[in-house]
Amino acid sequence: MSMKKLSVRMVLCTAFACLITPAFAQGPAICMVHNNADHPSITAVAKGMTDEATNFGAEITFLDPAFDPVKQVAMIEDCISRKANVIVVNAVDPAAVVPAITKAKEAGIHVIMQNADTTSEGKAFTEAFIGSQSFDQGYAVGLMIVKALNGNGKVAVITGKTGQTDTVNRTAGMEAAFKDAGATIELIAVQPADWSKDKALTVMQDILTRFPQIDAVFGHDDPMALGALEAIKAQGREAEIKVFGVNGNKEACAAIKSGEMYGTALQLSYLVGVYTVRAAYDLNQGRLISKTILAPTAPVTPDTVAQWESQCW
Amino acid sequence: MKTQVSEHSGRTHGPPNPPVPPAKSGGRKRHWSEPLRNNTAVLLLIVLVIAGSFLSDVFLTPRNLLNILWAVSLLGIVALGQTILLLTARFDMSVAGVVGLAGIVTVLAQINGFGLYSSIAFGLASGVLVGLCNGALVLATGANPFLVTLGVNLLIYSLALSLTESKTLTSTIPEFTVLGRGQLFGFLHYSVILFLALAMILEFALRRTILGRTIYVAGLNEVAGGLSGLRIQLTKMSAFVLCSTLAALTGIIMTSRTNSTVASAGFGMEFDSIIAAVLGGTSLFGGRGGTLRTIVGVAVLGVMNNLLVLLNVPSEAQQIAKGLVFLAVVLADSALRRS
Amino acid sequence: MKRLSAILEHHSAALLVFGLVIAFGSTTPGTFATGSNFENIARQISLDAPMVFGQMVVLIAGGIDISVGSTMAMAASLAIGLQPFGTPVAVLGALGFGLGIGVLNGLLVTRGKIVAFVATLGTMSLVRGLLLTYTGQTSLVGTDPAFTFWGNGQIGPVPVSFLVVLAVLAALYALLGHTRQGRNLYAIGGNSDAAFLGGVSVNKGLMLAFIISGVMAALSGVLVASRLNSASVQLGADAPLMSISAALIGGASLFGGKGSIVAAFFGILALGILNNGMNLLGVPTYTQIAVRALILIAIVVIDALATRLRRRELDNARIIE
Repeated sequence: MSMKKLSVRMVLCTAFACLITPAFAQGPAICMVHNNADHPSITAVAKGMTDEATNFGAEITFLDPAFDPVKQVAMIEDCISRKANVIVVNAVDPAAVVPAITKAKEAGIHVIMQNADTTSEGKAFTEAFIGSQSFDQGYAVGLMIVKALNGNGKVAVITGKTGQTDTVNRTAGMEAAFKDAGATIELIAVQPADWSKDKALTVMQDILTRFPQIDAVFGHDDPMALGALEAIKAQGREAEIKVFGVNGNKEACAAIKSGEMYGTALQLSYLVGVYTVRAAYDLNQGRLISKTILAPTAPVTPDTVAQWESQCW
Repeated sequence: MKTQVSEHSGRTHGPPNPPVPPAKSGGRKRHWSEPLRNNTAVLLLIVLVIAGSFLSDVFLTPRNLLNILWAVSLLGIVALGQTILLLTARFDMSVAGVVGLAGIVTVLAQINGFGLYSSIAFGLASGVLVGLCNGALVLATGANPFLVTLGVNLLIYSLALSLTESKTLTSTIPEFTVLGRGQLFGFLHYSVILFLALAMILEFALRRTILGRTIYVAGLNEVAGGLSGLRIQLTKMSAFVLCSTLAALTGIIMTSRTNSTVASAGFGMEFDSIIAAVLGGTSLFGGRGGTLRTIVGVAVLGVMNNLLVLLNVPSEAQQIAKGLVFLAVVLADSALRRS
Repeated sequence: MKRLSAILEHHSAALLVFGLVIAFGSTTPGTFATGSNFENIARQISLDAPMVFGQMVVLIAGGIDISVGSTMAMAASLAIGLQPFGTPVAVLGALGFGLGIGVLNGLLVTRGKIVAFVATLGTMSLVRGLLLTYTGQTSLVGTDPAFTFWGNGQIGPVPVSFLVVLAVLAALYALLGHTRQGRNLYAIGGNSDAAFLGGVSVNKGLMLAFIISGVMAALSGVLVASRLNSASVQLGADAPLMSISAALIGGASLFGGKGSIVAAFFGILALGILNNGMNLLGVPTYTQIAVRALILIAIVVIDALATRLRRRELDNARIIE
């Protein structure tokens, strides 16, 4: 479905909902516990949820634990106290949420995991996983790199904050892709830039100083990839090094279109938000829903950018 | 080091003093190692540079050294403001928020049609405003600067988040990037020149102007300073404003360098700027230090970060290394001072 | 006037708790003032409470401990990671680690003569690095279901972790109020030179304070590990600021010599109720941050004004004498 169609429908529904709001009163009360609200991807998810909520008369409360697993558990409990119908969790730590979602299940509240799933043990207490996983994003980028380098070359990785789930999984996904493709790619440097564009710029500068030859750079998100790109351009090495990111930010898609960046793994964050509200509505109506609802991770490269551009955020 | 006994009992503000036994009476003899004792950071910087040149063959190249300067010049400018404030025995935890806010205000002004210079003026003004706010809250009530500025930092962050809705804002004026990326003679970045020039101007002001001397007095013994007719309150206020304004300047340069900004752009700079100032030899308790020393402190951090990447040290070991080096410096500093 | 300032100085945290309970009780009918929600709050604050107590003790002695968050996270990881050797070993290992960090901090401050703020900043980074290495950046999952009793179990309506906190509260209350060692801490924090001249061993007292802080941070870690039945490097990132804020709301001073364990309890209780209440109200994220900031500023400013008022009264009293 194209974005335009979606938004036309949205506008119509919004107008419609204004007229007959009472009819939607039995929409679910959704409690959304993010992992960290200060990120454009989360903003896009939240927008998708808020937009779709007007279609279903859902009422959403957003909570932000700012990457603290203990706070996240406390917030899930506060959602239980609020007597929410559905709790949506983007897990900071897959294992840490298990006791809290167990409690939610015991209280008769549906739990949906979004973008970051819980452990296999925790899955018994959740209804569904919706979204795209950071491992898959790393894997998608890994495959793009293999293709771009014809299976061998030297790759540097600029990571998010050390130890965070997204950081660990995106590197792991990339490495798995290299292995599955049987590529002989050498990881010459793996250095943290803590999700900061400016830090990525300075770290990349040092990596450039150290290595006379680099074939590709993988930034764990688009801002860091773009920061690395600035450093590369400043040294005039943009012909030598292909830059990859994750997210599908507008700036990154534009850079791919103009040929400065080579690829990004597009997370369809807005759709994740939309799917989440629909699933919550169905659960609240007592309908069965699919255990896994995946928003595709789209590999955006110079070849495919025209097709995906409208989805970049 | 000043005798801490009299200072401690007479003071009304400032962080707790380190527990030192009463100073020995009598004058201290000058020792050949005195200059070194006052400049442990210089010593460490030399050690790091020598070690670096052995460990990595690209370390001691002019380009790498210039890169290091460019990388740390932003933290450096924040640290200069922090140093001035530390001299008055106060510090500012809100610089992290100001760095983000100033960049956002500047870009928002551009998006709303203001020109290059007026948008930068807006950004700087946001820093001045926060500085006035910090200063007023701390000075009027005698409240703890650490907590007040921490609160202000949170407040600014939430303001920045709601201004950007957690999105990245991109500058709309192409010439804006000159400030952060432009180079003099094709190799010296403007931000590096700005950092070094500011450090020298501020050092001169500290040593040679009444305002500068008053800043030291404000940190050492403000009661006596007040009695001798110096405008202590005004001086402290200007220190707060200066610190915030320099943080805002940093935010604007950072935005220019990356051509975009987010609310969390300055995260970590509040601690890093204090660490840089303290490494350089500025006291946490006021009255001792200077902005030229801060160049050295900032350089130590820059060289360390650079070497960690050049040697491809795994990120978990980087934390350990940073902790060890930091402790080694302060231990050596305190040992040399007492010997 | 005198009474007002005394109340503000000694019971501001308790007053804040009272005010918050009334405010949230009246704005969130049927959700805030319920038994199950009070259980929630009790459970939530008992994880952080030991760490706040430890911070309070250090602050009283005139120090500060920035390393509590890293220590807490490392202790949590040890409490989970060492479970193959038996849960008692794991818990003792975690607490022992906290003790070790306390000793290290104490040595850096007393022997190394480093300012507490700087010394513990160094240990913070050091321990965070150890933690990243030890966990290999993955989350560790517990293997002993019985261990979760401490964090999740309850006796009647009361969470077990809350009982643990009450026990620790009683012990530290007795130590600070009723032993010579404890009272010495106030003297050291109030004026270390005078304390030294008065024959108090400043070094011994500071060492004790840092050890308590290290062990208490580790206890928080053990409770967190038990509650989550897992541990990861993401724990405790905002713990230093949170624990200092809670202790200061509880009447501690960054200048040392002030505060009490009971007040620290009210400090963390106030923060816990605030967070819980705002979540129940569904206050938007940005606003939550702003409210927390405004309350922090207000508390600090009120504390400063009350202290000033009190000092003026003391001066007046002296003049009258």
